[in-house]
Amino acid sequence: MLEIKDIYAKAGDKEILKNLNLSVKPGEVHAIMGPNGSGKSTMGNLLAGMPHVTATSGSVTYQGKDLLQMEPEDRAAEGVFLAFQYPVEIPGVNNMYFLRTAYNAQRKHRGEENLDSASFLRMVKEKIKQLHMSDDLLKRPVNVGFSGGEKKRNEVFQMAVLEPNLAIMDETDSGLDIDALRVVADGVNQLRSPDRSFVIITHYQRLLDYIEPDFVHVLVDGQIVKSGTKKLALELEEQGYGWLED
Amino acid sequence: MAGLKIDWLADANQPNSNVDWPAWMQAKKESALETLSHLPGPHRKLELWRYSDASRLQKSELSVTEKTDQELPDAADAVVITLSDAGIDLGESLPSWLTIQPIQELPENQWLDMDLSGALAKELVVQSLNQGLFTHGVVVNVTADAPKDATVVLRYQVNEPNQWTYLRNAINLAADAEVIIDEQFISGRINVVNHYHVADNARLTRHQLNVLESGQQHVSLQHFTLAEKSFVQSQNRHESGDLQHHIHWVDFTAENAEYRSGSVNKAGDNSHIADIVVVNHAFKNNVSDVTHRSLADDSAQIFNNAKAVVAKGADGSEIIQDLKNILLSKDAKIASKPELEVYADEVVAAHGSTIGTLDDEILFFLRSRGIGLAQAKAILMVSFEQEAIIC
Repeated sequence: MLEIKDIYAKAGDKEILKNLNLSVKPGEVHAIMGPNGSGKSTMGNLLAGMPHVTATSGSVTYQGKDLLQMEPEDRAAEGVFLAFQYPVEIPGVNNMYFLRTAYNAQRKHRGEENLDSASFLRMVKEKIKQLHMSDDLLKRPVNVGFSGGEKKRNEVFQMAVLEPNLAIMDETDSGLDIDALRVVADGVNQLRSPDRSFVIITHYQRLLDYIEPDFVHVLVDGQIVKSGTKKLALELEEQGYGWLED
Repeated sequence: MAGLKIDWLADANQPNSNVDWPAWMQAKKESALETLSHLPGPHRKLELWRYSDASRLQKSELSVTEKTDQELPDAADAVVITLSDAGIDLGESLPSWLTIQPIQELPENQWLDMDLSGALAKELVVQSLNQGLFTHGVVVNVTADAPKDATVVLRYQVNEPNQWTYLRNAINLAADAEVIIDEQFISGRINVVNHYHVADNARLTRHQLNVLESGQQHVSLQHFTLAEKSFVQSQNRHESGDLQHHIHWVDFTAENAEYRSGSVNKAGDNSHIADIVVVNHAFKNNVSDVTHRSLADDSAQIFNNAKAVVAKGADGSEIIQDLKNILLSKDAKIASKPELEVYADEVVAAHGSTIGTLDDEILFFLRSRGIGLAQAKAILMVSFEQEAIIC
């Protein structure tokens, strides 16, 4: 699914990722943990195609294609999804319109017909019900006046509608109370499938109580310094990152 | 430019030249032309013309692109008044709450003279020219019996593309009246002056839709007088064209009234748009709230100016001026100027102006969901405009 090989990358002028390597197979869930400033979000942004994050060397192959050569919208249409750490607000543009535009843009990229309004509405209402979210969300402008928890839930809802192959979740658990965390985790778990992979970026082990990862990686100073199972996350919870930074 | 009168009269479209003007009105017109003939034409040293190329006003022929069908708001239940080369078309019979007369039947005591003396006369010289050259227009009187959502549409649909056509209207709302006035620019090279008199407790909702074809020009002065406890909300959309120069002049004539305006200005190619709002707080406890959202692309220029003058003793005035602007290309220019001139002691005023570019983070968010760059920018522009959509 995803092969990150010897990646060095800059955010602006600052080199953040230094010899990053990661391999993700279909259906796997990988948790990326690490201290502040270690490059976790930069990794997510690089994969999604944020313009000011640029690879200086190395390669990223996604489903056999050179991901770094693709525009952000093409990556999305090919099935890459980034759940933002800080979801943006778009006043005056309601969620329904935004989502339908995104959904049909991706279909167009794949050479498929647009989904008409009625069919789209039926589909999103079904999705929102499955995720136990209020359909009030659809009528509101994108993230405007949303609480932190609602914004993160909206990211998961977008993911459910767009059905990506590779979902990168950038600290989706940050700022969530236990109930909201459970809703978000339930949403992710519902979307797990043998064809869909997740890269879950998080600071805390608690999210991994709800979303069971196949692998846990520790990112320090732009590279993965240790990989393991969920047990590694529990060790990090107890001992912190200090023992890996030396 | 030498004498305005000589240059501009020669270019004026006179479709209604056989009108029998009342003597007092004819005298006003002649007097205005005489005064204006001694004034210089507009130029860049004038504040209101600093950011617009005034020499374009004198082009003898405009290169107007072929007219595309403009999508107009639904006017099925509205009274539509069309001002064209043929004069005035009022459509079907009028409802009882509305009377419409030709401008030459305006009672003399309702005439509002434009100030043709002092520094201001030079700034307003193009709009003032209307006082001498207007050929037709209407007096619209709305009574307090007007039903909810009563709507009058004023359409400017002149066939003459090159010569200036001068239109002048007076719109009077009786005490307690409530009406929606939609002004729509359809075609022509039009200089229009409208006087809105909003009486006690009356409520006016106004929409100005000026989406011009490439090469077209339009100049306007909208003058509002607001009586006690009256309310005006004015929504303006100015898009494209060769030159647009719009002045909204607001005079509070009593206390406890409110004026709100929202303007969306969009200019591309080599378009010049000026959107100027001047609010005179001469009495206590009045509110003005002016919001502009402007987008300039290519080598277009936009000038935003919101000015409030609070007279001595006009305590309790509340003023908001919120001007935000986005440059879409490196050659586009926007000048944005909120202005407060306060002589009263107790005033609440907030003003701000920003000029920036489209938000990169939101663009990336939209693209990361599969939306292409051009469409993402269009969504972001719609979002930006929304803050200025007030009615």
